Amino acid sequence: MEDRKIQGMGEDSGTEYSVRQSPASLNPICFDPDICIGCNRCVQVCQCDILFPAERKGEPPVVMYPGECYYCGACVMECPGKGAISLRHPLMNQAKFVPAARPKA
Amino acid sequence: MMEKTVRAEFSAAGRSFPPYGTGNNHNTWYAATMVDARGVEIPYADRDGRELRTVSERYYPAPGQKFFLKGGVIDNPKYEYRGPETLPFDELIRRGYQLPFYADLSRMPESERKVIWGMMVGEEAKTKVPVYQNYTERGFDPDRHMLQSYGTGWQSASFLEQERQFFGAPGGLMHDWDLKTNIDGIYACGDQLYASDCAGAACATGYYAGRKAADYAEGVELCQCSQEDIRAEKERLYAPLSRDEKSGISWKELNKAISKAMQNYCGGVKCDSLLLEGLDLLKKYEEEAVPVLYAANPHELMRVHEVMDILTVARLVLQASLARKSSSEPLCFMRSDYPETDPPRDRKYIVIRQEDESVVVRQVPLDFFGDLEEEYEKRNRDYMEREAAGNGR
Ligand code: SF4
Ligand code: SF4
Repeated sequence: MEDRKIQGMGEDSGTEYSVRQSPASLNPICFDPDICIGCNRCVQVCQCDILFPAERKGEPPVVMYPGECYYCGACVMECPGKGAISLRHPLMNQAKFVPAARPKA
Repeated sequence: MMEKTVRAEFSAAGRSFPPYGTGNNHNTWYAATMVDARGVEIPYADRDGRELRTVSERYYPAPGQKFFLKGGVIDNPKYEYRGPETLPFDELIRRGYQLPFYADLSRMPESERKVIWGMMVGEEAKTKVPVYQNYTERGFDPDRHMLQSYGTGWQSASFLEQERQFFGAPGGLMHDWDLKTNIDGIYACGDQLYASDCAGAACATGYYAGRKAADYAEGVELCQCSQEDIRAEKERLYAPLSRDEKSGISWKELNKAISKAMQNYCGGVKCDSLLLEGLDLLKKYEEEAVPVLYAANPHELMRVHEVMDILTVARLVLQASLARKSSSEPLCFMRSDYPETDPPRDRKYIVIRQEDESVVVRQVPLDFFGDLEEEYEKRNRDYMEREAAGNGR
């Protein structure tokens, strides 16, 4: 992904910064573009500041810093559209479950 | 500041399983039925070692006991407050129980299963999506499945001895009765305090510190700030934004280097020479890496400052560790050069602070805060009266 230019805010509004999607070995957040309305509520709620609004209005946000996600699920809880955003733990962190053993007499 | 690192138990990211998302029987999952690898149920016992036969008994105090306390920082409560718990790990292994253990809610009465999985895990903010929803989507059904445990306790992974974290009772920031630190007007609350962790303590101390800080702010006059100081501070904070990426160091690189340094020099077993070696390396990072940290945008700038804070805290931990010249079980603190454990001479807080460039160490008696009830009432009379009158702020 190419560097994206963003403007600073407030008294910093004259400054232009570059943002680049930071590669990570996992992909914790996925969007369904058919359901997502691009409202950016998930972007606003993320305490780790890892989601960025899409460049085109109405499109799903960009997961700019996937390696910094700490799997709190706040973005999913905040989303008004069921299934628009989903959270997945990395493979190595998926706890194992098995059919319950029958109680021993 | 006092040394506050314990062997890691719990993490939300890294290589940890999701917190509260592994088979366990603590906090949110208390008192889940646990079984071993063969499916044999692990017994619960009351504080006197009397093995309990029913699930319901796990939720009641022992005969003659008024109540028991569980969760958060209360890992090893006094006999007076000790509640039902699964048998100690060593005893289970002696009896032939086999790892891995599992939490098996399917053996519990439906109401208890629903409380643990549906209400506690399902409705707690940070477990609703990452655990309840995700596990359900992966096919987990508490009526039919059991969930594996990792490590031997309630940890969310099998952590190594050198993987330390700021959690649990030992150490923390020194403060007065108002939760004010030694910097006038700066208050502390939550996990950074000693003998404090989890949400309940954070809410209670946050409320208290906020109330005291508001009272303080009402009584002080705002001073004129110097435009020159503001300019200099802005320059310091924003400097990484104008540094060169190619010749600089990223926050991630420094973060990993500090983490490795702390694992090497301030891990499970500590000694003066290792701690000094660690301080030497961190000083080098401070002098050589910090001035070339770069940030391409405000997000990275936030991370840069976070890592600079981590560097300061890491140095504090090393200094605080150097100051205690003995080992201590309740502090999870082991010294190879001072193996004597909890000698009476060190049954006190060892507090460090920075003065100019040097570290000042002092000792404070364990009961420095006096009688809790009496001292609290003395300092909070106006608040208590307001609350009693029903018009608390
Ligand atoms: S799970 Fe939490 S940290 Fe990760 S993107 Fe969502 S809100 Fe941010
Ligand atoms: S909150 Fe949901 S709908 Fe809104 S942008 Fe995020 S994923 Fe899309």
